[in-house]
Amino acid sequence: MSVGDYVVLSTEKLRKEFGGVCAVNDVDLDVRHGSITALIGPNGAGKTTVFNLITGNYDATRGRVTFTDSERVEHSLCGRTPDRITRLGIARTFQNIRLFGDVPTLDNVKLGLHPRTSRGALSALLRFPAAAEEREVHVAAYRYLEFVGLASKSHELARNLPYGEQRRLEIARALALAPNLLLLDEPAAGMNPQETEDLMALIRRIRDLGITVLLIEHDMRLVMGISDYIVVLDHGEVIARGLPAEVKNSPDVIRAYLGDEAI
Amino acid sequence: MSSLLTPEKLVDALSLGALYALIAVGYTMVYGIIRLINFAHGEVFMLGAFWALLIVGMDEPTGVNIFVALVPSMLMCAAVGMNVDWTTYLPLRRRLPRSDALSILSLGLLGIGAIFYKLTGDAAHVWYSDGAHTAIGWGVIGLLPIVIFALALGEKLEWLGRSLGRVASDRLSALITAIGMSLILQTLAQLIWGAEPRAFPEASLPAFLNESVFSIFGARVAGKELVIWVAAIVIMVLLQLLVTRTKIGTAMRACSMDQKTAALMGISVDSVIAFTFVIGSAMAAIAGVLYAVKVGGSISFRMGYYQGLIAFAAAVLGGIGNIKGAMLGGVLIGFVQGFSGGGNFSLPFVVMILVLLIMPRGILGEPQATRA
Repeated sequence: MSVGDYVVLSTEKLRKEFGGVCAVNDVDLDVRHGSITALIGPNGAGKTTVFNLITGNYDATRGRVTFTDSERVEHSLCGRTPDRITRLGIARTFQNIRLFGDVPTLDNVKLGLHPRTSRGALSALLRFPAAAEEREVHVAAYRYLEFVGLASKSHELARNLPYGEQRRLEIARALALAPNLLLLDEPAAGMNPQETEDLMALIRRIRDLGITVLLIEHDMRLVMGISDYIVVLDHGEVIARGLPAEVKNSPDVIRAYLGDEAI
Repeated sequence: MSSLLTPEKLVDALSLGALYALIAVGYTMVYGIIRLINFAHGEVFMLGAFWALLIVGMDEPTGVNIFVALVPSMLMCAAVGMNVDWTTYLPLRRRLPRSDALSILSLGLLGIGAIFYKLTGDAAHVWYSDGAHTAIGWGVIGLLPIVIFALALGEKLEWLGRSLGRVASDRLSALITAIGMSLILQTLAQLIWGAEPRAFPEASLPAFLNESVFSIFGARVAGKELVIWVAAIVIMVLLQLLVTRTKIGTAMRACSMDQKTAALMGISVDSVIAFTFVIGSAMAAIAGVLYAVKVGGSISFRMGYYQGLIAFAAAVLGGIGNIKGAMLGGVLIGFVQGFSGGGNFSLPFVVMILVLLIMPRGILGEPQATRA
């Protein structure tokens, strides 16, 4: 499948108000399949709120979110709970990492495989099928760790990993959910240039698996380096969208980031 | 007064400990997942005994064996436990509850149902010779409209919560709600079944329950004590397997660590919580029935309050949120209660306070708070 085959995620007039504050104001967003799309903007622009609306952590004040799964079936995400949305095929990572810190890295990934396992109470008592499946889960989880380069750390507690590796573990866990769309919330935050370089390669490899990536990021080198398409938010509104080169030269974007004097 | 340590008291202590452990696990499982002390859990224990009593015959024995009555009692308690969660706690922890004002509605219906039952109770006895069937009949008939109303109105009323800008409640309102739910269930039970304590009719109790099976240190062990021990051990082993070996058990543990992230792993948190209530309540039903078998004439609307509080103390003593801790705490409190002669309700709390002075998080409590 090539880039732009179909739209994986689309929002229409998406709006979220917190009391009198309008955090997301009539945002229209189209994420094409197979693309790496970046959502950028100054702090407080409403980027993470958009993510929370997509994954069902917030309910939209109004507007629509439509998601197309890997079988090309369209789903409206309005009113769905986060677990349902996850099972439809949207996985995410967090700005402030949310791992299960007190369990080994491998178990974190295994939990991502959870929706696809079948271990019921009865088979657990009978044991045989469960044991076979447990082995499969184990192997699959290990593969995801390998994919992000953490295979050697499979038994370490998640909270003992360095920051950059915790981020990659979170990505591995999200991938274990077999998503059609992966949302990355500031994946490069707190990473050094080398780690960021590795992360860019990783994101490209994820895209090559056929998983569409939508990411929020402040690191412009990363954004400009890997994005196929960029959407710029400011004060909850889309102020620019287009190819990296177009966005980079947009006066609105420069004004939003640097103020009027910069023009 | 006889000496402090007698073999008879040991037997008694073991049984009480097993029963308290069964109840305490219900408190601790719910706490582990939603950080809420479900005070209504004691009432579910009480209802377990009452449902069984209804089936074996409240006024005249129906001839049903108490162990047969145990199964429907467990099912009813599981339903009650789940409904307590859905109607009372779920709306509080949801940002935009689907099943919103209907919690008040279903509580109201429950109350109306109870009054209706009281009013028609005597008439019903004329229609059916058998009181138990009537009661179960009303129970089922009463539940249906509640569920239908709840579903229909909940969806329709969602906009109300939305327009009020509803946010999830803090833990304190959930706590006082739990205490309120406990009192509501107690009052309902008193309204429906009266205040005087009751016992299972002799006809429903198999003979071996009161015969001595074997003896320990010269103390005879009656069949019922043995049943309690075996039941408790089997249930605890099954529970441990459930939590550690099954998919739903994995989901439960994930939810207790971080609900929001668990949801993003595709786990339906509300279903996991409902399941936790179901398991805990079914165990409470078993404990309620076995307690009423052990202590004759103990079935009253108040039994859940006292035994529930003591079991709660056991859960705290063992380290609230920790299943093994609740088992251990239950056995310890059972010993305190058993050796003190059983009638002293303050002693378990004295012991609990003493232990908490040294180990503030309970014996097997988490070393530090898992979440801020």
